[in-house]
Amino acid sequence: MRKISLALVLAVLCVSLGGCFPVSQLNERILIQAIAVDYEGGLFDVTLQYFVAPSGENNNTDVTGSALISGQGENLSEAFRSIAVRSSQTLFFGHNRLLVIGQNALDQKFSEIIHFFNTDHQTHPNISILTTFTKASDIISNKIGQNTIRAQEIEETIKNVAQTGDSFMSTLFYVVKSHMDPTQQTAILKVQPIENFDDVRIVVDGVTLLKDGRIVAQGDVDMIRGINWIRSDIQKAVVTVEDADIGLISCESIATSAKTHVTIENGAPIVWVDVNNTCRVLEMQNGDPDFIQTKMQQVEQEVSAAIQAEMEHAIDIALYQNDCDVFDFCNYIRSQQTDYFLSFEDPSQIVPLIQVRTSVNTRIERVHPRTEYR
Amino acid sequence: MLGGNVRVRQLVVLLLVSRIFTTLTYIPQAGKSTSGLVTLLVNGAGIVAAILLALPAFVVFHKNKGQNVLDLSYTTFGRVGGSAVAGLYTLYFLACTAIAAAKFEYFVTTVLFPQSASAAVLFTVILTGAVIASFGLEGISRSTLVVMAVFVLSLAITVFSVFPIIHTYNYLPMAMGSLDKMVYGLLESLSQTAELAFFMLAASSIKGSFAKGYCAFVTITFAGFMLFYLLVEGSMGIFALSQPFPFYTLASIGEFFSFERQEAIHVSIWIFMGTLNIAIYVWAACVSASYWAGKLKKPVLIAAVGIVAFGLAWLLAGNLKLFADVLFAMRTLIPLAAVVFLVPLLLLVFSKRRAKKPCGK
Amino acid sequence: MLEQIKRRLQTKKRQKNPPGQTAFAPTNPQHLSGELTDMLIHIRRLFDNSGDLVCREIQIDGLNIAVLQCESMVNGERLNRAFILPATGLTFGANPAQEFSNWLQSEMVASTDQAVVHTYEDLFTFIMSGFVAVLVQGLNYGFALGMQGYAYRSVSEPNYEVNERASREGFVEPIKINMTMIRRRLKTPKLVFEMLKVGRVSHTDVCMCYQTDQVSRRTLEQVRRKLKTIDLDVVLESGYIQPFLEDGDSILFSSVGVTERPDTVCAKVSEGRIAVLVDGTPFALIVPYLFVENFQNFDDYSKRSYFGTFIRWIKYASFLFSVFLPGLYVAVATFHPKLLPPVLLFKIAAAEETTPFSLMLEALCIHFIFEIMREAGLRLPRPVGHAVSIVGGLVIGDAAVTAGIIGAPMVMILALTAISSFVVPSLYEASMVLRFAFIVLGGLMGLYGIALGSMIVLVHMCAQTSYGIPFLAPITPFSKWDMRDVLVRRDWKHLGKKTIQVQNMPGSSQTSEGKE
Repeated sequence: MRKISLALVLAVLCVSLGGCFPVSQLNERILIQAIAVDYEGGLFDVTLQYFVAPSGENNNTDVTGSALISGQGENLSEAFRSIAVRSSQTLFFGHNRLLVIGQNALDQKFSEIIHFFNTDHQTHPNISILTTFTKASDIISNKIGQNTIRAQEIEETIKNVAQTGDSFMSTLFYVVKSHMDPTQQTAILKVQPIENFDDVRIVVDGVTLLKDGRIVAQGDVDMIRGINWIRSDIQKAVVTVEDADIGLISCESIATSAKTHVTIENGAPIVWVDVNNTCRVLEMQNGDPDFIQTKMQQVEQEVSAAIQAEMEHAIDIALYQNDCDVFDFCNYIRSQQTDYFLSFEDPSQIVPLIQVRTSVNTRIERVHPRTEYR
Repeated sequence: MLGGNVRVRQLVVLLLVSRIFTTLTYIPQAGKSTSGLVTLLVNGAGIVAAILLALPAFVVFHKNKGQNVLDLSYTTFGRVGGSAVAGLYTLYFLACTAIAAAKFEYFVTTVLFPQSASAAVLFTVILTGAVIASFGLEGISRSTLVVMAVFVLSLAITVFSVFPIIHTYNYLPMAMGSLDKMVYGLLESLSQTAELAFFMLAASSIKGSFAKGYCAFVTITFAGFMLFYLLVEGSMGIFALSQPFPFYTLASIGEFFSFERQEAIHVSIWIFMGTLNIAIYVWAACVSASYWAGKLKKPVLIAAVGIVAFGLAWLLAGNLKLFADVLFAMRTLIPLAAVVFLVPLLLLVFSKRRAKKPCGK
Repeated sequence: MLEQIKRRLQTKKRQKNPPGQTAFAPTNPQHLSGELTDMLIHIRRLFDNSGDLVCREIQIDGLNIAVLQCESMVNGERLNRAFILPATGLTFGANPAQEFSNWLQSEMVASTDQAVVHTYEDLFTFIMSGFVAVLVQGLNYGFALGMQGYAYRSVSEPNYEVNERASREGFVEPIKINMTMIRRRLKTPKLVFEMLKVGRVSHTDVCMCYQTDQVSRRTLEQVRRKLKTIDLDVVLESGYIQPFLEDGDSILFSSVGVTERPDTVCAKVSEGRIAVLVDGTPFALIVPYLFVENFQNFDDYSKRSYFGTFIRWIKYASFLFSVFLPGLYVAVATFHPKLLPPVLLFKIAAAEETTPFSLMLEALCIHFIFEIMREAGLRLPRPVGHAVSIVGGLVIGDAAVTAGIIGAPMVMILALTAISSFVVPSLYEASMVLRFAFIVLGGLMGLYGIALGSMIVLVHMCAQTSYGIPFLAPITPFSKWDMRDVLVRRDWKHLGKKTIQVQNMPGSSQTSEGKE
């Protein structure tokens, strides 16, 4: 009897304590899918793409269930507060997948923006961060026909293209990490909307380099491949070269790995990046029955040269022209040449001294028999 | 209250589970402890330091099997001295309960319920800890196998999911460590291991060798710290320092096949461990208090300990400066050294003196 | 003051039931007088002229004899053939009463079950158990002849423990039939049936069944003592005495098993357990009883080991679903929606968009309605049962969802929970209570509340014992050898290698003799 009485008292206590844990039902929340942040005239302009049940009465709702809402404020907290007040719902960041930052906001308010999202307990560290030359809100408010391009679709586009090395996942985790490290600089993927027949698609447009929270350079799409080769972030890139006899040859990478080691020569750090690339031939313009015996080695060298060119291009723009180490070279120096690293009071002084030597070793593993009319 | 036979393996696993929770909810910004590969050295030193701290206890419990530090205190120092020692242990474990509850509240209100009332979290967790403590040490120690199995599974998933992003260059080299940070780190990790004091009290309930159990616990604990460090820093590098709870962030960045954002599941498992962490301190405080307040019945004792611990924890949770001061005081190792080293040493010295006294005098 | 009152009440209780005397034993048993007329008058008076008492007085060679029975409890044809006809042909000498007594005890083989009765209480017990009582003028004792012929349910397949590949026999109400079913399966002289009577008024027959070479003496003594000190007037079902056999710390999960199957009883008894059979009910009790036994049934052991293992895991998963699924759903959807994949979350959000109640309230209401329907389905006559299922399906499954009172995902959760709860019927009560508790905890405090509640339940189960054996053995304390019938179901070549004795489970304080 005593145990039952105690259990009842405890149950009543627990129920009464329930009010101390604030709760919002699902229909009282804005389920944010994407956030666009612009900065104009000293004010943050935040646009949210959120989910609304298709049966809802919101006029902004389309068939896919996405709607848009925006708000302004002197800082991000005020901007989000204005949205919450207008919608009379709680903002839920837990399912936000995308953060698009306009160039102006990126250049002037980068630290503030990433600090805000880094400290928000709901925001996931793996959200993708993108930037754009146009207004950030344009990216998440574009439509395919009647329907807003959903954040998941944009994210899937970035992920799928990342496999071929033509984009990379610039996540909040990566961005904050590179921003906090005094020896590293940040590269953020740039996208833009392009018209595709009657639709609008979001495509990767290049990369924006930031140093100390300010934009220092813009890179093109080719630069992205170079960064990915060095970081060993490529799964199945297609490299096309031209041979005098065979014409165009496309090879697809099956396995790629990059090894980095550091030596010190004449007081300067030399970073050696050796890429091993295994690939298979996808397509040859003109077939050669003796390809393996006669042409394969040459093609391998040409492919290696092409990859090396992409790497050099990325290193040239980022490191040599703008002193931006987006390749983690300083981390390798710190790890492998610690004494040299510690000899600098300010480790960021190492970046301008870095020299990179790249080498690529390509091996063609498969050549499919040619399909010819007999 | 003491009762029961607990196998030494069970006790080691119980205390391991309790200590792991403290590690998982470690806040880098709270102290100035070291980071980098030098952490491995610090943890190695921690094993040695913890064993050295308990050397008097090894000798005392080897000579007096089946008795704990309080039984021996009453025998050696008499009623007044024994009560004083029991009071010291009661205060120590009350403080540990309050600190553990306050840290737990900080963790829950940061990652799960930022808008919730801290009193509600403190009340629920201390109440749960008190209820669990009332089931006795045997019941608690049996439950740890299940909790440990679930935790190992969750840890395996976390490790598997973050393995691809571990890079060796994320580890700060040993040369970047400094001696004062190493010492600070050593003091901090030792001071947070109040489970060492728990051994002193549970010595009478252990079926097995006290010394072996203690050494096994210390070795596995500090080896575990090394593993956690290697995981956290290897995958997140400097990013870990920007996070209030790096291991929580680690659990959230990993993707297990198509499952992502599963950190809430991991946190639920950690809450199991957190409640055990608080429960064992409540149990220890109750056991210590029962020596000088033996007339009180068990439920009354548990309720009293729970209420006092709640009050202290509420005080700490509501006053960050006071909390920091208390943590600093614990970090000096004086409280831990008093209960783990000093009291057994005094027992050893005084029991030898009693043995030397000729009969009849 | 309170202490004084308590002491006085305790003294009065002790006077009412002096120690050493069983609760049902009368303080002053009345002996038979030997004077037939007086005895019959006394019996009729005590029976209060009850209509079912049949008393036939006959004279055999001048000797007055009374034959008493309860109407329709005796096999009349056997009575006439085996006793009345041979008795009426008897002739006596100088001491007819004694001669008749000798004839009855030595020469007459009316039944093998025969007893000599000295007191009225014993007489009544035998008469009401279907015996024929014979009283003789001049003898201060009587005879009880076992000639039962009362109607009872025939042996049929048990309703609550259905198996695909196992015996179709289940226990019935008469205890003697149940005892024969066990004896037929365990043909060993070590199998002992120890009879007791429980219930001051009902004098219900209770039988302790155990194997002397397997059982723990300490456990046996504990069970015997508990049965003897049961203080009830009437015992009509084994459930009446089940709480008396449980350990004090059993709140949620019973440490006494219940079964309707004789093969299960035999298996348990051969592992050192004690079965308690109760007359009038087909449900036998088994002690000690561990948590893992709820997931073991006969089909596991008669099928292939890999399939048995798979089914075992299904049961574990079903139990966890039945307890945690609704609470987890409420907790995750309310407090931690980021755990759900986006597409699923949006579907749930769309479904809950128009519902007026919170998820917790929905879950509580729908589960409560389900319990009402389940109870109604149990009590209703079969012809009406179909109507209930149709109404239930329509009301909950369709109308409520269409009307927007309840979301469709919640109905799915209910369906899965309900099906899962019937996979392990022995844990239904506990799982139902826990389910509601976790719904409330999940709805108020999310996964945090569920974690706290789970921890309390887990430690409670770990602290619970069943006659000195940890309730969660062999999971914790862990025993690799004993886990061969828990996590997996090893084949019989492995299971049969070593005799299992429940008292030798890890952590047990009731080790078998010779090992203490």
